[in-house]
Amino acid sequence: MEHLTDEQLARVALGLAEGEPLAGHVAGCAACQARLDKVSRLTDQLAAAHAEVDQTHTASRERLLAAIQQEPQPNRRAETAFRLASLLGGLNMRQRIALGGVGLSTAAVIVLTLVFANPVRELSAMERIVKAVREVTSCSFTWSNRITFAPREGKPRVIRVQTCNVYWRAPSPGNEQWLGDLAAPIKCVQLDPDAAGLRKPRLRTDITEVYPTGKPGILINFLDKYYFWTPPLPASELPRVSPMAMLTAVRDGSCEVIRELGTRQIEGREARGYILNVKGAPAFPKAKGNEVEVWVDPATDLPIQFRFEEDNGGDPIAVFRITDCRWNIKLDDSLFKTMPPDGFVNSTWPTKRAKIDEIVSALRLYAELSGGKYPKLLKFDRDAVRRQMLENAGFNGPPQADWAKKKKFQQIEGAMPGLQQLADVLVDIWHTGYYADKVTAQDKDNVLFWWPDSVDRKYVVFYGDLRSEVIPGPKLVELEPSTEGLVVYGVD
Amino acid sequence: METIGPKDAELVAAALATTRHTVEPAVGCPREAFGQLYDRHARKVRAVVAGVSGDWSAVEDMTQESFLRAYRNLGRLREPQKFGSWVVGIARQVGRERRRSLRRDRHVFHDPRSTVVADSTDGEAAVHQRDEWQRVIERLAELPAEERMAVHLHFFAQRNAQEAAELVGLSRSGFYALLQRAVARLTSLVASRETRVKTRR
Repeated sequence: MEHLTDEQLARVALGLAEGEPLAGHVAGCAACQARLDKVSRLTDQLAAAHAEVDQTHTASRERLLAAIQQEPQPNRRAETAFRLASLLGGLNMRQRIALGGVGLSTAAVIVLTLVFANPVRELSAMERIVKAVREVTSCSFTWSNRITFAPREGKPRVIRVQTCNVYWRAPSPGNEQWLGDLAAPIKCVQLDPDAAGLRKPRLRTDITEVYPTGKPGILINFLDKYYFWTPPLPASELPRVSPMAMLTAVRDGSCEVIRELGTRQIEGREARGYILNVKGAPAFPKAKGNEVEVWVDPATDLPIQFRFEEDNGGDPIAVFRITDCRWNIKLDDSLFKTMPPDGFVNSTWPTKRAKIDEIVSALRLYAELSGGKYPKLLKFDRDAVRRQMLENAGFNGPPQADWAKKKKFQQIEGAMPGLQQLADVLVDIWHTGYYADKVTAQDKDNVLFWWPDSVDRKYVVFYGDLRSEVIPGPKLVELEPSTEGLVVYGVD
Repeated sequence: METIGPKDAELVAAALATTRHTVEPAVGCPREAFGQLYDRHARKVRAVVAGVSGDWSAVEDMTQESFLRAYRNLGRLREPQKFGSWVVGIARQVGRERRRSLRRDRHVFHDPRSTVVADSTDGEAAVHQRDEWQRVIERLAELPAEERMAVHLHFFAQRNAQEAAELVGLSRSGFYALLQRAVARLTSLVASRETRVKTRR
């Protein structure tokens, strides 16, 4: 029997392998026994640490009971001020998760819950709002972010406008589940001033993200002509910069209405306005004055518009808006299709071990031929890397017929699929990283490259010695600080 | 698993009772009834807040907060027999809030040892031992959330695998697989950190 894996040793140490041959192997294998001792020591330490906290149970119980003595007696019919927690309490976990995915619908519930949490309002208004939002079957809205940079070194200021149209619909009419299809074409236009001070629009970003209910999603980059598939989108993992996350996160904040703005015509409709205090809500970490403006249609009890400004000390000035909210509209099926355009590169990171091994083998071969270095290229190009490998292996000049018979040449040719895999993955530089400019085969604990894990929204990292492991976002940032700002999963 | 003693629904009803005579004698006074609910569910609440927040130092505070919120909202619990899963839901929320608050305040130095029970009378060996626990607990925070949760559930929930598995939405064997993976990863994390420390020295 081969030596036990780390997980098998953990199984033995946890006492889960009774009657299994694993324990028998350990008894006769000094190497495994030594490793098991380490794992057992760790499980003992865990048990002791947990037991220590458990020892405080009685004292904590007394503290709790003393604290509830100070509380008013809970009443079956107690209806304290409406808060999100109570509103969502009537939903099951799946519905609550799905609510997060709905985004705007959720935000509407939340914002309006908060809006109407004002105790002077009647309860029936709240009930109407909840009913209205629960009956929503589809929606669309436009999210925009206008960033104005201060003039630098005498140059006129730059203005960047990011616009995102969001479409959501329930899978079928009357569906009680709040799971839905989500599509979001996103464009970012930069208005650079020319010498004459005229601003010409320049498209900086043109992507579309589509997430059909419970199915793999797709991100298509129309500028760089690539796409990649993503796992189904759970609400809890929405990128923090997305408008959906921003709206969804209102739910979790401790917002309150601090001012009424009266009524006004908004987008051709009479609307009632409020200022919310969003202090502490993670989606609005920089909202100027912790304030968000919201306008509500009193006829439908649904929101029409949101607006807030980001506080960056005056540079840049960023104003976020959610406008053109439409509810219960017919959305065309074509919006939610996940068909990649012809000719675009599939830059989905590999998940199969065999494919990953191909990449690792190719890089290992390159390192062998170049004294431990990895290909340093601004843009990873398979053919350029192949040429370098051939030169390093002594295959110089025009191709010769006898090269094909040489083992080293065959190895280099065999590395091509792996290099192509890597080249495809590295097309999407925003979700991958490659640091051959500073990491060699000798830097065994430094990150050479990484990409997102397709299963649980963590990161697959490869170190200088080409070992790999799956790690959470915060650890990736710790290991490779340049990823801060790029990594989304698990990092606020 | 069969619950021994009064059922959760009876305890909730007792905790809500405004007068003593409306309560079954076996359950005790309203306050005591809530105490029994605490006894029954505190361990898994500790596991959940520790797992979700990753903040070991505040486990007891978060547990208290979860039960206090549960008490304040007890009147709105529609299905008293589901008190356990309800309070776990509250605990998840408390854990998430803590995690967010830590991220906002990550520049603030926080010494996890400061809040863990630590009598200094038990000699150097015990202090050293506690330091070792702390190192393990610190590495534990680096595990993926679900693996961290599995470890806490296993050690807090008194190895009740069925209950732990239900809390993480897995079968019993799935839970064990997750737990094994977590312990294996943690062993590796602790070893790598020890190696790093030695190298620096």
